[in-house]
Amino acid sequence: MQPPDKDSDFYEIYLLEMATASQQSNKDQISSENHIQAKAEALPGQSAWGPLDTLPGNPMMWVLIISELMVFGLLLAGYCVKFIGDPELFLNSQAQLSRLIGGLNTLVLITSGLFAALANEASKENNVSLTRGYLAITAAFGLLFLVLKFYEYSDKAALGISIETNSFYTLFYLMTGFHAAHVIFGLLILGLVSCYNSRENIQTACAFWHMVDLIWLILYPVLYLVR
Amino acid sequence: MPHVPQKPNPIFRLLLTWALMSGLTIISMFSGDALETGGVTASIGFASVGILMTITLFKCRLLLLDFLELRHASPGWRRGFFLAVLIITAMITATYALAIGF
Repeated sequence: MQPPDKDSDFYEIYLLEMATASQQSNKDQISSENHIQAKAEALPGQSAWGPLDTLPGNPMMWVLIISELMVFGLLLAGYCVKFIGDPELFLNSQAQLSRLIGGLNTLVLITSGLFAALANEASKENNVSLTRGYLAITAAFGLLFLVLKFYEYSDKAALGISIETNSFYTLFYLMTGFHAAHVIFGLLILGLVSCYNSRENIQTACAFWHMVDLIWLILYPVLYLVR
Repeated sequence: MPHVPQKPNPIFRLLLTWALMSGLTIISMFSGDALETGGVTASIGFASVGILMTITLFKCRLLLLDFLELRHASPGWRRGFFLAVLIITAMITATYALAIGF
């Protein structure tokens, strides 16, 4: 239908009809949204994330945690294949690592994990200052881990050992370097949730930190101790 | 009056988990000659590899249940995560059995 001429008497009636039709359309849309919301509330057992909703923190973080476990699992599978191919090379290369620093780093991460868990407990009681304090201690232990890791890397660099030395060191630097990158990312997340400290944010950051801790618990004996 | 079991203090449980994990790490360090600086390459033996991996599995289980709070999650998640760690530790143990022998 063609709109009437702007100068005609019917133009105002036309505008009025158009405005009424637009309002009706908005009402229908709102009604439809309310209907969907009511439907979601009527089915409390069904949620957007399914089984992931039963896990603490944001479900997206658990998707990441599962993906990370798979990535490190595959890297370790690669390590196993290469180890079977040349056990002598792997044993001789492993002997050059500092088992003591690796062990100290494990203790450091376990302790940081304790403080992350304590921060989580404090956030349950809405104790913001205590939560922030525990998160700061967690981050301090995370930094100590990175300092020890840097010392270890520089010690190896001084001996002329790098990622290209042999297949053991390629996998060693890949796994520990990727893990250290996660520690740095974890520190950033801890800093963020100290500012935006909702209950879910704290749970999510702590879950990420514990995942980093979990991976190191597996990497340490495999890369440093078992032979 | 019926006996009502008391819920353990969560802070105490976390401290206990931390102490257990730290203690097991120190045991692992000693059994893997972590204090030796001479670059030991001698095999620690298949039994020690098995013990080290069992300790790792137990430490991971403690972390999953108490630090990651899977104790309160559904049993499916608990079993799934434990199975993932079990597969990795079993893979490492099997690799050493294949490469070095029992």
